[in-house]
Amino acid sequence: MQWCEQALISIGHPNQPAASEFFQGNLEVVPVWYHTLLNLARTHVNSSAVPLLEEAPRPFVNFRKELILQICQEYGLDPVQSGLMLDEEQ
Amino acid sequence: MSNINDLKEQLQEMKEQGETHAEIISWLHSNGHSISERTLKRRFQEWGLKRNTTEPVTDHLLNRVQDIFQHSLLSDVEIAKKIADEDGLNPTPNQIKELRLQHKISRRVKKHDNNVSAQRTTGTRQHVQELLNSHGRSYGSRWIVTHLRRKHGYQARLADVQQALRELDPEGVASRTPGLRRPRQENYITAGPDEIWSCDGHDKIARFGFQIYAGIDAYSRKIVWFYCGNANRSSFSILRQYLTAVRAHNACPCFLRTDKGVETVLMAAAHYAFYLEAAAAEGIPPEEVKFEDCYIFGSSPQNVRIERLWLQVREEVTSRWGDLFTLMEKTGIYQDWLIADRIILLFTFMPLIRKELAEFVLDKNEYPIRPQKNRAYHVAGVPNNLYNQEHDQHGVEVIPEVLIEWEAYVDSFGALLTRSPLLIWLTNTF
Repeated sequence: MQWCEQALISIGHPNQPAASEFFQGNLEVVPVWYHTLLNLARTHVNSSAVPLLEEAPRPFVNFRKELILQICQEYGLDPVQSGLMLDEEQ
Repeated sequence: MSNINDLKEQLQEMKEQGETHAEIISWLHSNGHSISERTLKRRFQEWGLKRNTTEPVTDHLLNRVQDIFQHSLLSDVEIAKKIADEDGLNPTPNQIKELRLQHKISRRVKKHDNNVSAQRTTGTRQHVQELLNSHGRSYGSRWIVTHLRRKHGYQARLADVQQALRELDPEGVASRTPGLRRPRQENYITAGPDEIWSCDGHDKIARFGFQIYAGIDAYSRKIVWFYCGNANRSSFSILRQYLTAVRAHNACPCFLRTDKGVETVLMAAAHYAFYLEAAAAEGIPPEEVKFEDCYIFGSSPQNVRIERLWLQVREEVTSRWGDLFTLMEKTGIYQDWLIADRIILLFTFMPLIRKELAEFVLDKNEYPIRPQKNRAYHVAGVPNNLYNQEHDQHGVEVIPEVLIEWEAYVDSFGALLTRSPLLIWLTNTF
């Protein structure tokens, strides 16, 4: 995020991007600065320079079965009869 | 029969105490006086008796009327009710109208006033032009009227907006003009606010990394939460969103209605836990509470409330951004296997799309739903007002300790996520 902000300033775009830069009337347009920023980022990633650019981690997805079993145990419920355990879990 | 003139003082006293005409007539009848309501009213007029129900006019009252009138589309009755609810004052709708007219806060310009009318037409055109230039949103005419009123306090005439849109955005108007429609699914019956929250994800621009999830109150059509981020398929993220909404509204609904997506499982578990604890607090044992007592699973198309919302979101916001991203994809400016492309796309557009969606939500919650006499169980009104109405509230009170426990669970898992390399690897893998 910080790298992106600094890169944006370094290419002469000190303000936050605005929607109006990408829509002119009914046409979608990609401004020149976006191409420049993109090329800068691609070069940076390919060079493996620091800081390493990474996407924000997604919250963990695949732990539902254990949690549901724990919840059912806590409340004294049958996971299937209570309906908490879905078809694909069975 | 004695003359009721002899009872003038007594009747005056009853009137001042707030008794209705029907009650006074009933009292007179029990005392041997038979009199019609029309006669009673005439006598009160002759005697100059009038119940003083108006609120003294203060600067505060006037400011509130101006503020509410300029930033919403509420009627005088609704303005009076809002002031009564929020300020503890009791103005009558007639008093609101008198105040407005005295201070020239009018709903429409007189037809013969051509100068003012032309100025407003020009002003509206400028506002519409600015909106079209500054947003990626595609606005319909009624949405523009609501948006200008809510955000800028500007009172635009629908006809002016429609004219401006026809001139400035003919393609947009054409794209919003309905074509052949499929038969409409009928409404389902909801008793009141917080009885059902209808939840689902919107994937129009999900493949570009913009994932959307929301919950809408099925009765009032108020959007109770709205999320735009990178995880609408994560059960953990949906759980966190749900807990935040429950905390904000201080209650959970009687029912949640979702599809059977994997992302809903933890939310379902939390909702069931809240419901069980609330039932236990009323002395109902857990074995008597079934999951289906508080949760409705159904296919996405049947979840009509949220699907209607997604139609509006698509028309207003995401469709245009989707077109832009598709153009970028086709011209090689966005290649989804390159991390640099994904990061720059998210960095550039996430704040813009979030901002537009936030504006959309505020507009939507103030957007008046019109009466439809041919639709069964249709509820008309402004979502914010319908949701806050005092009668027919149906939310389940959440036991604070249970909510805190679930929030702690989410927090501890978030901490675990940031600490554990294994979990980071798993997260990126799934």
